[in-house]
Amino acid sequence: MLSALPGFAQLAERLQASTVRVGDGRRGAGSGVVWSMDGLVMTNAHVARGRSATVTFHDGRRARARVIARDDERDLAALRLENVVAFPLPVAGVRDASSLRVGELVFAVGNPLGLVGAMTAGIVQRLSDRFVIADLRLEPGNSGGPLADAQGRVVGINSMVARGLALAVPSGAITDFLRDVYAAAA
Amino acid sequence: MSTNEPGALAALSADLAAAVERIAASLVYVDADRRRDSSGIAWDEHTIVTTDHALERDEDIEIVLPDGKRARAAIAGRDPSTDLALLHTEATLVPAARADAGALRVGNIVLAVGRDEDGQPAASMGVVSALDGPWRTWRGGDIDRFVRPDLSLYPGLSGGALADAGGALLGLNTWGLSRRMALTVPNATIERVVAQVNAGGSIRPGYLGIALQPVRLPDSLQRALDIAQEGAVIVVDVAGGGPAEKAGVMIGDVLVHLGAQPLEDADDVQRALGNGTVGQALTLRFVRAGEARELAVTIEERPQDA
Repeated sequence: MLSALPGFAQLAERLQASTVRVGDGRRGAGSGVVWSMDGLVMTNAHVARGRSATVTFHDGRRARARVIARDDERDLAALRLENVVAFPLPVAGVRDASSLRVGELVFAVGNPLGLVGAMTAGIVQRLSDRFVIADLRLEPGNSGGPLADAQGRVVGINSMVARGLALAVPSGAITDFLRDVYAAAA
Repeated sequence: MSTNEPGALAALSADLAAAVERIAASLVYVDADRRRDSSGIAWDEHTIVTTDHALERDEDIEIVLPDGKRARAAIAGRDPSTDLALLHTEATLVPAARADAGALRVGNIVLAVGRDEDGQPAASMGVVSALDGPWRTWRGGDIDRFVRPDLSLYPGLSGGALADAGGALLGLNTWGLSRRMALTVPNATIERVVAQVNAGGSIRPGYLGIALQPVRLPDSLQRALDIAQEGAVIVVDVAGGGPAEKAGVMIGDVLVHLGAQPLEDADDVQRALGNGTVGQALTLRFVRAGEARELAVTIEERPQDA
């Protein structure tokens, strides 16, 4: 239905390019989002449990990444790519989730059930300070992947499913988390 | 990487958000049950329509308005047969703009919209999955049109609106009419129930107080009774103190006609007991021991526990 609209193919392509598969060598893999030009990849804390991880891009290229910070409470982890595999990196655009309205279209991309770059669509179900809550289907492999608006801008990192609803850590919490990380490093 | 121009997808997204905003201005949270959240729709400036099954209590009902303020509401009428209930409030509401239901087609994008206890709107999206003609609920209520949306009716959205992509009201969503799926009571049915309540009439279907089974009417009996009707219903139980017992109906009687309605199965009996029959004396034609007979039965309201 939505895929028939002009702009959908570009949106899917753009989101898939900035979405990576994150494996920590243990249990099933999750997803991640290429966050900045200097090689930062954001994912869930529960996806990156170890000190390092393998990041696989949509085109199949792989890179090692170091886990530089993890916040279990926010369910966020920041990874740093150790070798440059693509230049420029397919960095995701970001939008402040606090400007979202109930009913706006949102899209999730991830690697659920072994699928690569699988996309689901839904709407913002309700507003909450802690999460972006979406009427959208998520599978376990979606964890750590992007939730994006109709222009492909990332509004959150998909984190869990509660009563059938998708819960994503809002982009504002990611900004706060990274500010803390850089403040600690300075 | 170049940024996408805001295209058709972004326009649709903005339209859906605007549609939610438009219908949500007419939606309230209904606080009438300890365990269940539900929503209600402003039908006119002081009337809210919600689900009957989610009204746990008859008093101390409160609503949360679109501005987040709480207000008191009183039950103006209940119709368990269609799972609709009407609340009256002194607060001034914005009545929901109603959509032209005739234009609805399978595949149309629809939104289920409600309001949570904090006064925030909540929504889910899907498509119209099935449409059909009038149908009768398991409690004997007449629904003007079968409307089944394919969407997730999350807790709290029951009693709220099914809206079109422009934010106009198509009907009320409920979990109360089917165990397996969320269904929508269309505007036409709400309109009818509201009119009945406003006219002070009963919105409870009539009650006979019998249990039935369909039977075949043998040719000989059809000829003897001079009717062209292949089936009838046999009485297998009579409720003590019910209208049928009072009129003299007995187990084993084969019922053929009630009022103007031929009786060939249980649905026909429900039809004969449709809206407006409570208090009326209807003629019951039946067969007892091979003989045609008639009785007058005064239809009553179904007791609360029946």
